[in-house]
Amino acid sequence: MRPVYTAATDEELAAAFLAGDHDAFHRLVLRHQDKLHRFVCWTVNAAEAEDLTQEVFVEAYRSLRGWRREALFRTWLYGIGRNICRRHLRDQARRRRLFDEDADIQAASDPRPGPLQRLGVEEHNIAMLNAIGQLSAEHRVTLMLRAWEGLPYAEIAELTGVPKGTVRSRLHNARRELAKLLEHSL
Amino acid sequence: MNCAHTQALLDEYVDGELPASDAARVEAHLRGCGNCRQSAEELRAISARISTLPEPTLPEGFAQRLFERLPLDAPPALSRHDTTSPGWLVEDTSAFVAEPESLHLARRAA
Repeated sequence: MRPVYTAATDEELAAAFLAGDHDAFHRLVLRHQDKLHRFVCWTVNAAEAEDLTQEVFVEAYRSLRGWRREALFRTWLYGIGRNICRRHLRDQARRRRLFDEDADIQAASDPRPGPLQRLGVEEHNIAMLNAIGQLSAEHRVTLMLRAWEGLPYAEIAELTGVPKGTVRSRLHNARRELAKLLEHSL
Repeated sequence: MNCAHTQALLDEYVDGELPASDAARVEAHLRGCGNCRQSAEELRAISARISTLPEPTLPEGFAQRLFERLPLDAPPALSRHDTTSPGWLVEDTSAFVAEPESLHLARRAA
């Protein structure tokens, strides 16, 4: 007889996993994989988004015992996601400093097509995608969580690990920067 | 409310995050100020365009590949009495989908 996780919360599934039930972790993956993958896409805008999403889950699997139960599982999971994305962006910048003549090249100028550029988008979206790609990682993920995912500020604050006021200012700055970049196509 | 104050609140207004009283004050200003009204429309236009962008989707088999990477003996199991009784578990073999392939199919069907 195997258990059915009817309406189990994330926290209950995590507890079941820690008690030795691997299927509970599978359920957590299926529950979070799509949103977490988009979060990674919005953050790094890199071809490696799928691999990074896998890394997040593998790291979660290995370190779930360190999850402090006063925090929501989702908050903890996205914290791992932020760390892995940050490390990726830092490594990317370091590689550029080592290999590029121009040490000031920004992360957004990665010549490989990012997931946003590989979507098979219509022509009229290309300018928008390019402009979004030029935003900083913090501005891009905040803007996409709001404008694409439709999340309220409080939830964006939780997922990005910053106060609500920071979400507010990031959105303000991101939209104005985007408007400048799109001046001729809006 | 002047233009500077309105501009500072415009994102929250467009996003529906302002308390009703502040939203009413912004609206009152927008009725009489073409510049701020245009700014609000631009913010809405940006959000509208972003919302129509296609979804970045995970390639097929993502979960399957992930599950294959996870060691079967991790994590070090707590003893059962370390956790509270999971009342949300219902013993039933008919509906539980747990094998990686089945999970993947369930995801695709969802």
